[in-house]
Amino acid sequence: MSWRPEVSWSVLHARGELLVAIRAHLASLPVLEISTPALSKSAAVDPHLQSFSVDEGADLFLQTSPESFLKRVVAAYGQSVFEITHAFRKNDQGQRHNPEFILLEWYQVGSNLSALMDALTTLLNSLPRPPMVWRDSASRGIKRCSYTALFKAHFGLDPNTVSYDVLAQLVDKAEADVGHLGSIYDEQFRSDCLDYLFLKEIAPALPNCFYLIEFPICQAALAEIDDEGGFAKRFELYWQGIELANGYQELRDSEALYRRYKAHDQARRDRGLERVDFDNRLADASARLPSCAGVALGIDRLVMVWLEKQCLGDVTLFGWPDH
Amino acid sequence: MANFSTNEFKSGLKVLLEGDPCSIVENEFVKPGKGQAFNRVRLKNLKTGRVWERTFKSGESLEGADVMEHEMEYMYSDGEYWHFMKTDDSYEQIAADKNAVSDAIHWLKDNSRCTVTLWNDVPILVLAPNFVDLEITETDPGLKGDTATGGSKPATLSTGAVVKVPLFINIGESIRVDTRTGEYQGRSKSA
Repeated sequence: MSWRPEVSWSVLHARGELLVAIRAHLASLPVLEISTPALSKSAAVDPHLQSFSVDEGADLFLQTSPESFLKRVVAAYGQSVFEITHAFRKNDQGQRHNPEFILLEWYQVGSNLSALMDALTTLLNSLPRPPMVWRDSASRGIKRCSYTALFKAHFGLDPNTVSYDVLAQLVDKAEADVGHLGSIYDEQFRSDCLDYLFLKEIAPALPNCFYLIEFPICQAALAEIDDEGGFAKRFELYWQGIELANGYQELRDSEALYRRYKAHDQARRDRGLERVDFDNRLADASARLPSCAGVALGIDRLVMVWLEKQCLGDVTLFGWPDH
Repeated sequence: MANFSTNEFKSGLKVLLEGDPCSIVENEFVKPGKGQAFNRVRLKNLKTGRVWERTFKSGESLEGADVMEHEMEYMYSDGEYWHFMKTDDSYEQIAADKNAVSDAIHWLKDNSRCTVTLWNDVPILVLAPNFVDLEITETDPGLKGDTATGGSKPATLSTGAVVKVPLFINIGESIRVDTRTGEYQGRSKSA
């Protein structure tokens, strides 16, 4: 292995320029930049997120995102804040995934999800030297596509209520003999099947750049649910098949938070995954959150697509895991 | 054979899928949001040459396939089997059936060095050398001086294959052919 960094100076320069522009734009809003710890007693509970455990004795975990800390800050001060920080997700490794990566996490107090999408689009449009494909497809506004509506249109089924058996059959039909998504029929299974069917059957026909909105309820994560509409108030920004950002109308109901934790905990137990403690401080903060929307933007991926590169290795100074 | 998990997938790895030996061409890790991780994999079926696209749940595994590629010299055909000999001084011989020889049949001549793929020691695929020199056994008479107009005509080679050649090429001449495209490359240099 060479001692040298793996990217050219021009890539570093462009990356630096984008970070300066992001901070300048957010400062003009204004949103305050803060710093929170990367190590914490709390670990992510989502069954598909795995935290690095740093010290077995002290039970410290590298954070999969700064969400919990930032919500405690928003709840305490009632102010909009952001952080640009390292996040860590064990086993997420590929051309567009590094187990260690940089996130912009941004909470806008008083905002709803739609306004936050607009604010994110404005932020991206303020960045220098956009690639041609961005100028063509996104600079005049980004299309919004409803996950639940797309699913209904494609399969004629409601993703919230379609039975586990039917989902299993749809997965089998999409592609035989490639293994299955498990034999435990629960809401996690529903979510896994939806992920698969979306990736395989729906995503290929979607536009170059769009906000995916109105998520199935089983994928609400920490977003509010629209009971009437039957969807989670969550969005993801996709660009050329790559997820760049993930936003929520933030959940402010600590009892709902606990119910979701219990479901995730049960899913982990049923699958033989490591158990994770309930984050009481996040629950306390959630109950006191002002109405707000938050978004996480993957900085490495943003740099990658902004420079029209194909993989994170092309924009990462020291490539995982041989650095 | 050992099993390989999706995180061990890399291009060139030989695995069994639907009972057929395959070589992994491309492996992409995809994970939607906080959701289930998948590996989008392109595999080349080594028996048919066809490329399959499959999406595996990350963590699934496939059985490895005992597949080896050998450089071998073509010897002769008895009509049912095509006989090859290893070039590693072992003089070991193997017989490939018509399915394994498939398209290479058009390009095999004595002593040509082929790549033979063995699965559990049975030949499943024969690849002719990328370029072969073959003699023309049949074609319309050549037109003198016509070297520039770019016209072409069919010519039958000693192996029975038919390729398009320029109008000035004659019976008895040896030409070089690209076996991957079946295209005329020029007159043989050694001829």
